[in-house]
Amino acid sequence: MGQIRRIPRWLYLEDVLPADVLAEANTGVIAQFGHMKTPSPSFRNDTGYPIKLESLTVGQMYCRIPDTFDIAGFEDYLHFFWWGGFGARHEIEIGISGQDVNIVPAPVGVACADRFDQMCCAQNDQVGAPIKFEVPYILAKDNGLHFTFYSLRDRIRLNGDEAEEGFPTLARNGAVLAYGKDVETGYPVILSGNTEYLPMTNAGHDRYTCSSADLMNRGKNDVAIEEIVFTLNLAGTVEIDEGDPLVAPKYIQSLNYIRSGFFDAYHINPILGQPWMPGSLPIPIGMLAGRTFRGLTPRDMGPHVYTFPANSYLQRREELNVRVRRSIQQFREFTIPDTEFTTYGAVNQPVSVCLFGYLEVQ
Amino acid sequence: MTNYLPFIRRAYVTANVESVDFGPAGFLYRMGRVATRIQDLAYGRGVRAHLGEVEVRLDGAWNGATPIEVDNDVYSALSMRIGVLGRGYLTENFHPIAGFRNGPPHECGTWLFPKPYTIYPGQRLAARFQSNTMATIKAVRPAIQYNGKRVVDGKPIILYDVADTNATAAGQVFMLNADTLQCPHDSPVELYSVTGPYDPYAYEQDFAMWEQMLYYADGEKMWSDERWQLAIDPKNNVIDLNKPQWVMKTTEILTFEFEILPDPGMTANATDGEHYPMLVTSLRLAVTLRGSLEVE
Repeated sequence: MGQIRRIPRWLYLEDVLPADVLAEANTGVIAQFGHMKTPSPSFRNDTGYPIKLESLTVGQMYCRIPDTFDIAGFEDYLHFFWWGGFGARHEIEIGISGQDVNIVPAPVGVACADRFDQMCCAQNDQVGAPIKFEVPYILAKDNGLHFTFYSLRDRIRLNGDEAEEGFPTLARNGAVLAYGKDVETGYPVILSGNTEYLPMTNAGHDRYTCSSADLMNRGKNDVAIEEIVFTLNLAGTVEIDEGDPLVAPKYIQSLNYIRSGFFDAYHINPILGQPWMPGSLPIPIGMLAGRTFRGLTPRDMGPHVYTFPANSYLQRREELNVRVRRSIQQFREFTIPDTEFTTYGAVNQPVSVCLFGYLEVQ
Repeated sequence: MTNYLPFIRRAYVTANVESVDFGPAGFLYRMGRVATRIQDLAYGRGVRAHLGEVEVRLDGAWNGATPIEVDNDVYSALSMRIGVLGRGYLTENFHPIAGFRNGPPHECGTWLFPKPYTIYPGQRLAARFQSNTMATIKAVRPAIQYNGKRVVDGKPIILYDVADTNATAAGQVFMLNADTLQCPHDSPVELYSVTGPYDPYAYEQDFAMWEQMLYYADGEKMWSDERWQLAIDPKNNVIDLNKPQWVMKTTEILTFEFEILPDPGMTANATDGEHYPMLVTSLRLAVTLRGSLEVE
């Protein structure tokens, strides 16, 4: 038996929570709440090693906004954020094949840690999240990290219109910094890389890959990485003129999208060895480190973080299942362009789930 | 007997706009590289310093009374790297200041000591506050609160004092040294943190508004400069260094170098959609290092 090394591992899924099924058309009587279960094998441990489970982050990106940008619609839009969204109105069940994790479904806001609303001075425009590793990741000499920063702009829909006239071109970049130490000398080590600024002007996914020399361990010894900080930096500040009914809401909305942490994503892996993110989807910054995610997020939309009981493992060939179910129907929501408000739950909702743990490699 | 004295060092660095270009994205301002040093930490050679945290923020007194909006720009646009004098920088390239930030945001000013500071029966803590200006700020009542633990029985204890009145004019001096800042007679106390006099929601407070001095239990000042902006200010840009690798000798010098990237540096105005230059003048940054000195 060799020494156990723990390798961070993120598994990420985006899925859709279907609309509620109505008993009759055009009535609010619900025959069945929408529910979804993570499809197999999204969270199956297909490695040869156990995964020590750390946390599960769930959230709902919100990508619908009112049809018109008049003040009335704008206020309702704000009300939606104010009232809250995901945590209070959805139930979550978490289970592992062959064993239980939680016994009964619980509201997301109850089962998961309360996300402290970290709107605070002087951090409005930087979105970032540090994550500390329970056991340092050993980055061997001459190994390194590389990452790709994505702008998931194609998720943002304004009225379902791709043209997005007036969308502010807020350039932003991704920056990753790792704190650690030299395992032999104990001397502090910083690995860092940041991308060019994404102009946000191209349709679809923009992305930049970063493999800076500063992300390499160029020292003489192994490096123990203890903490990683994922940051998204905006290139400027938008000064909101709230008196302008046509312009201000657009800017606020677009800033909210960016700050919500769902529209900029990372894919980071070591150059050699077991990957940290084996999946193909980039992981939004808010889902990467939901416990510490800081950004201006609409209230209660996520991320919400479930913390596994100590020493929970996903053994090889076991599978983790997550079921999310809409539990109550309330609140108005803007749905389809050119229609009036409908009840929440009448449309499909996107749901994001991110599992974080450590692969225990011997 | 080993004790850990809280210490603060602060350095100021002024960065000047060196040139102006007009690029495809608008006005671009370049800022020359400037370096600062957290100077050697006094108390002689061979003493070990447990670094707690570094805070980088605009110096409000220099940059005007409304730094908050500017802060957002600056921390994204301004980059830096950290090094130790004589041992080089830890990275070759500069990294956005915001990207270094791994400490929690604090809405009120709390200074967590990396190591507990022990005071003994008969000793008393003290603090001095002086208001610089009353313009644009809410009335604040100076207060100080140390959180600690009684050594003999492990019970929590708070040592505190509050001024009798709010500050109402510039230049007012408040000395806080009441009996409630006295170590109890029956036990030493291990102090873990000190909290300043802040309304946690008074975002607009500028730390230039106050000067502050804390005193050790033996009456010595915690730093030498009498006129100093807040030491325990509401933090907004904290780099947590409370790890074994950041325990250094006091003769070592922590070095910071700053650079502004040419790419960003514009402010979009929502009303007319135009972009305005972000940095039109020089900036002064305050770099604050907090930690504990290991003394016998």
